[in-house]
Amino acid sequence: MRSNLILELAKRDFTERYAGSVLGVFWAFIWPLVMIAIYTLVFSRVMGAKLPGISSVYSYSIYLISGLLPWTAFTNTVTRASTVFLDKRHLISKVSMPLPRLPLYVVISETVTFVVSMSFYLLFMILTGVPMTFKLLLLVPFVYAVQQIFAFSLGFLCATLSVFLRDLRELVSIIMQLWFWFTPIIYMKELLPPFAQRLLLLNPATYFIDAYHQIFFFDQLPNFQLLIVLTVMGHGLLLMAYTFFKKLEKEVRDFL
Amino acid sequence: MTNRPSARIVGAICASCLFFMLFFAGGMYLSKLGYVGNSDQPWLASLTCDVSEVVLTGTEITSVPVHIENLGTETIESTASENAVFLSFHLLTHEGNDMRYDNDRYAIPEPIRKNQQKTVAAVLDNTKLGLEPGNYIIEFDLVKEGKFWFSEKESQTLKIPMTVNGGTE
Repeated sequence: MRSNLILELAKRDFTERYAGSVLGVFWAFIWPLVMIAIYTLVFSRVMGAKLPGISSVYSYSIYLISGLLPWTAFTNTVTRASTVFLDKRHLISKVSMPLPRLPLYVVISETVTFVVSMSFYLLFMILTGVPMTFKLLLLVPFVYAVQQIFAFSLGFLCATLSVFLRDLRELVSIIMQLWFWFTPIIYMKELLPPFAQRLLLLNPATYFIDAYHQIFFFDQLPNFQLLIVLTVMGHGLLLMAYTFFKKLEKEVRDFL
Repeated sequence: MTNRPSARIVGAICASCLFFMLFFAGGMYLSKLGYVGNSDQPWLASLTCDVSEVVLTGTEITSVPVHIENLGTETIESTASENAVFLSFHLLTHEGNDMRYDNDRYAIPEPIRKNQQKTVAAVLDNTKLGLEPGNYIIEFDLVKEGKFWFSEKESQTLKIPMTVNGGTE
């Protein structure tokens, strides 16, 4: 495999989502636009939500969306990759393929959505006159890559387990919901009491969400130390998921 | 089919890990040297004032000259820039509790470069502030509009006791 097969699966995954609809793939462009519009209208205009010390009307929307878009890519990758072996078992039984690479199509598909959403977000920032340093944007692909390596590893580990434990599919969705609230996406970590801020350091999602906040919202360099920790954690998890899968590969194929 | 991890894949994972670690470590090193982005303390200012107490009487308008010295590495941009920084203040009770965080902005007429000092007059008008007679603390701070207060970046604020005499009528 056939990188062609992975690309084909990613392409199909993207187009099948909107198959049969009149607007087709354009929905992928409409969704982020609607999301940005809703959050801006509701939080900035209707509720007049502001962040402490920041008087811009768009500040909360900018803060929220800068964390929400990468989180959506992350959570979708973990959730969808965790069932990839079960979802594609018809294909696995017919075509000989190295299974560890299969979740890659989810990563590619989510990356396309992320790039489209981020483009609209950047356009929104430019139109609202939010100052930003374009040099800092060069860091985004690297932060995203490390985040997705972590998501892929987690999804891959769950994908192996979910072959034997079918309940894991639901469990992963619940965990991701809880994880969302334990990550400073809709709130600022500075507003939490010191002990809660220390607890957040145990949450690896905080590392990459904080990096996006620093780049897009605070217009500053991210905390590189946290990103190094995330890199080690992501790759360590990947190594563990891969070793675990290899130990169970025969059983996984038999079960499927 | 072997159940041993492929050395090629394990090698690729380690190489990828090393690449990202070196990349981020490089970024950290260069930022410390000041070659990329902001150095350790880009937004740092010293705020001083010649008066030790501010007194507001009735409808009288009081001007407080605040000296701003840029101790950070970034230029404190004036109102003309889209990254403008303003002088502002927080109002505190005389015990030092937060009362009103967001208040008027005072424009900085010219950019203040590193180690430069400029003075900005903060005009206080109790008809706008609407404070009851009593004792307060006025805490001057700089704000990068739409981004952050300098005090959030470990920059010191300037606290001055303030007395309000008479009503706002």
